[in-house]
Order: sequence, then structure tokens, then C-alpha cells
Amino acid sequence: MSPPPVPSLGAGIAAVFRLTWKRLVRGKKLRLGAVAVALVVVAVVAARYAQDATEPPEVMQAGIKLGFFTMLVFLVPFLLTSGAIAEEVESRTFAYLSSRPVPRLAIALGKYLAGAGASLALLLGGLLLMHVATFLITPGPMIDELPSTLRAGGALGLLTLLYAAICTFWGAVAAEAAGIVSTLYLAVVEFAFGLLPGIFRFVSMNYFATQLAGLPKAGMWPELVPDVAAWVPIVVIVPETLAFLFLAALVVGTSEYRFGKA
Amino acid sequence: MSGAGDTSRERGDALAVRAVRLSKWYGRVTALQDVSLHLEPGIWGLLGPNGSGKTTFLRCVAGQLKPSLGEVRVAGERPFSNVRALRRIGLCPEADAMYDELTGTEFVTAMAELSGYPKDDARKRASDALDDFGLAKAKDRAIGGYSRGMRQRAKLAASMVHDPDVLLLDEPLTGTDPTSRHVILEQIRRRAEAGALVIFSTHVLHEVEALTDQVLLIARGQVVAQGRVHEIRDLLEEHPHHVRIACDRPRELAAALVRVEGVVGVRFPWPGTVELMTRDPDSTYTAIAEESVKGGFHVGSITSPDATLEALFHYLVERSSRMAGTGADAAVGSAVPAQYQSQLAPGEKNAAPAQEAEP
Repeated sequence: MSPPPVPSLGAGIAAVFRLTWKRLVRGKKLRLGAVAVALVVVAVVAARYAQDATEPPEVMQAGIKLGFFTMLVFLVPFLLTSGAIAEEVESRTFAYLSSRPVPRLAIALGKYLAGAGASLALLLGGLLLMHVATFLITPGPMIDELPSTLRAGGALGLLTLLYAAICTFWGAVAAEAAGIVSTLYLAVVEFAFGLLPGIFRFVSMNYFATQLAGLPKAGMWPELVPDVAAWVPIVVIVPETLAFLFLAALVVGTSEYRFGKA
Repeated sequence: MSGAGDTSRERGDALAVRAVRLSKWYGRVTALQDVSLHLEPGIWGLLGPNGSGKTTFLRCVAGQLKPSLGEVRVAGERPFSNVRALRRIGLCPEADAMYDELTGTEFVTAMAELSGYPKDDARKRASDALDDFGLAKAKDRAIGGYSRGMRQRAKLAASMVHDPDVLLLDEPLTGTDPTSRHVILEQIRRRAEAGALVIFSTHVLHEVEALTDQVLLIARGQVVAQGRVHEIRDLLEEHPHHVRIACDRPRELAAALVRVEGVVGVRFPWPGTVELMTRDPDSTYTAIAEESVKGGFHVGSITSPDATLEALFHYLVERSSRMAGTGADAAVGSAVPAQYQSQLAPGEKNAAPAQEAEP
């Protein structure tokens, strides 16, 4: 009897990704996320056509700021990644993964990539759909405004990847309370700090992402918030994403996740 | 240890499960205490009452849990988060949790892919494994619609899809119908015949007998006996049987019965009740009937608080505690097998720490 081959890290990530993706596609959360995105897109497009059609770029910008950076970017990655590991642990299916010869790093990364990938697809798809629908009857501005939409999309993508990493991490650390802990972290650190004046706002990556997207400052005393160079958000958000991913992988790699009877 | 000893141990570890002073606790709860054993290929029944530490032991061997003290090795490797050890292990957990949204084929294919097989190979293996477990017709249906027995068989197919050398089955027959049971037992035998080491846990002696003659008895986190099923049966016979009689004059009845051959003890748990301990239950029951008639006793009820295996486990644990420190074996097998006594520090032999709580 010869033991089977040990899967490489890449093969392990791919196997976990495929399994997680299949479950996401058949689960309710992806549909819920799609409905949330659709509601925001429909609301923005309705607002654009209900108003005097002279300022669609402003409507689009408000939709991106309020709909995507204030609501959906919190909701969608939370829905699709906070339970990625936590739900496996709570439903006791984690044993199926951890008893296989895939490195635990592959479990963490495969689950993250599936959740983050689905979140990106929903958010960026929704953003592009909103752009097309908003400028549908004005093809000129549709082309002119595309760079700023793409810029917002890039910033939104970075923030989505970060929030997915944060939710994956908290889901791995506090498996029994993943939803609450992730919500608290995002609400306090990312949302509330993103409204504070002065340098307090630098705690929130949401603020950096909105700067990268070229959106106007909001919140309390926005004039007191120092401006940042365009490269700063990238330099801040990317390492933080990697740090949360590393920590999530570390937790998954060393945890016993003992749920159920002794 | 000498080099020759090392070599022999490595050879012996090729497909073995070895635990040396393995202990595991959760906070103040001790789930496993000082378990030392060496299991060779074949089928091993892990027998113990609920909460005795069977699942914890299997999880330690399967690399799901880290030992709090001591160590466990599978084929010479520590299994926790170790892909070299895990590729040889197949685990069928007890929990009925599965990926209900997947079909049987998708589930088992995913498990084969996670075991390192490429997609096509994994799919073929999954199909074969499901066929082996009698799920050929149901394999493309969602697992959520499976019966309990089918789910159990799908779990077992997943645990064996990669031809593991060490198969760990946690209560594999729970909730199965006779047909499922037959299929499962047959597949387990086939794995063992192919040279695998199979450990399956249960709290039913009858299930062990259907598969193997080799048993490990575990109770309160300790391996209290290791041996053959017939030896366990002998212990059951040796274990004093308890008979509780509620009657109007318990002390007089006790005085009459204490002379009966086989009766080794008597106590009065509460007023109006006498409890006899006997090694010969048949004679004792006959004597109770005779004495009741002869002495004119009014007998309200005759019951036995024993639950066979449950009682045997308590008996063995008590006996193990009594013999700790005397150098005597706890039961059929030693609490620390002889081959590992040499690995213990001086003064540690048979020195089991006090248990803090029932898991």
C-alpha cells in the first residue's frame, strides 16, 4: 500500500477554492449579496433618471460613495468570508479539510480567495453595470467618465480584498462569534474611524480607499483631515491585507478548532 | 536507546499508531490521561462509554488535536498539521455534519482532490468508492437528501477514497440500517485485508465482535484494558454483578443470602433495600427466590444497577486506580505497556495524575 502524493500548495489552494466556490454558488449568501448589489444599482440608476439628467456624473459619484464605499464594501465581503472558516468549524465539517494532507495555509488561502473572488465579482460587476446604466442615454459621458469609474473600481477592489482578509481572520480567530467580531471591527475601526477628524481617520482603510478612488472627503470636519498622496493608500492597504491573511493562515495552521464532544 | 532499538522502532512504526503517555485536557476537563499503546495493522475496536475519551483519542491520532502531554505518532510522524502523516490517514468523524449542498460524487471527489489526486483521477476514485459503498444510484443526488445510513456510507467512502494506511472511524455504525451495516463492515474488512490499520470506536461490544477480536477499552480517558474480546467477556464474568432487592426486612434477607456461594458483598444503599454483589448471578437469583419464600419476606422489586459494559468500565477504572503504584497491570493490558515503561522517567512508572473532571 503506497501513500498518495502530498498535494502541492497550489494544488491544495485550488482544491479548497473549488470546494468553497461550489458551496458559495449553491448557498444563500451569494444570492443575498447579489440582491444587495442589485438594490443599490437600481436605486442609483432610478435617482439618476428621476432627477434632471444634467448631472449624471454627480449621481454616479454619490452612488459609488454611499452605495459601494459606505454599504456594499462592508456587507458583501462580510457575507462571503466571515463564515468561510467559522461555519466549517461550527458545523463540524472542518475535520474534512484538516484531516486531509493539504497544508493548512492552503485551507486559509483557498477559502479567502473563493470569498474574496466572489465579492470582487459582485462589487465590480455591480459598479460597471451602474456605470453603463447611468450613462446609457449619454454615450459621450459614458466614455469620458469611465476612467474615474475604473479608478473607483480599483480602490473598491483593494478595499474588498482587505475586508475579505479581515473577515477571514476574525472568522478564524473567533469561530464561535465570527459575525459579531467582524461586524464590530468593521463598524468601529473602518466605519467610525473613517468619519473622525484629523489623523484619527488614518486608522480607517476605508478613508484611504475613498481617497484613492478620488471621492470627496466626508464625515466630521473633513477640512481638518490631511491630504494624502495617491500612492499612500496602496502602500497602506496592500500590506495590511497581507498581514491579516498571514495572521489568518497562522491561526488556521495552529488551531485545533475543537467543537463538539470530547 | 540503542541504535538497533531505534531501527527496530522505526521499522515497527512503518504503519503503526504509537502513543506514549498521551494526555489531553480542555481547561479543567481531562479527556485523555496517560495513554500509552502501540497498534499494528489490523482492526482494533476502541470500546468505551460515551464521554470516555474515544473521540479525543481518535482526533489526536488524526492530527485534529495536539496532545497536552506526551505524544502520538502515526507511521513514525506526529500527525497534527503534518501532511506526510495526514496523507496516510483516513478519518470518518462521528458528527453527521456534511456538505449538504454537494452531491455524493462532488463531496468524495473534493476529498480525493484534497488528498492530492488530480481532478480526473479524483473523480474516478470517488465514483469507485461510492460504488463500493452501495451508493452508485444516489451518487449524483445532493447529500442533503440522503438518509442517515447513506450519509454514513458517503462519509466512509470519503475517508477511504485515498486508500489510507490508517483508517480512523468514529462510531461508523451509528444510525445505520442492517444493509448499510453489512456494506460498511465488508469495506472495513477489505481495508484491513489490504494491510491497513483500522481503529473504530463504539460503545457496543457486539459491534466490535462483528469485526475483530482485538479491543482497547477506554474509560475516563484511560486505556483500562487492551486485549481479546473473549478476555473482555471473562472480565465481565469476573466482575461482581449487583442485585438490588427492595423488601420489608432487608437485614434479615441479607443475613440469609450472604451464605450463598458467589455472594461477595452486601450493602444497604437506603432503607428497605439490600444490594448484593455476586460472582454467580444465576445461583443468587435462585437463592433470593427460595429465601423469600422460606423466610416469608415481602419482596417489592429485584433490579440490577449494572449496565454490563458500563459497569465493567467502572470496575476496571477502580481496579486500575487500586493497582496504580503497585506495579501490577491495570487489567488485561497494562495502563503503560511494558515496551514503553523503559521510556518513562524514574518514578513516573504507573504514576497517573489525578483526574480532575469527567470529560
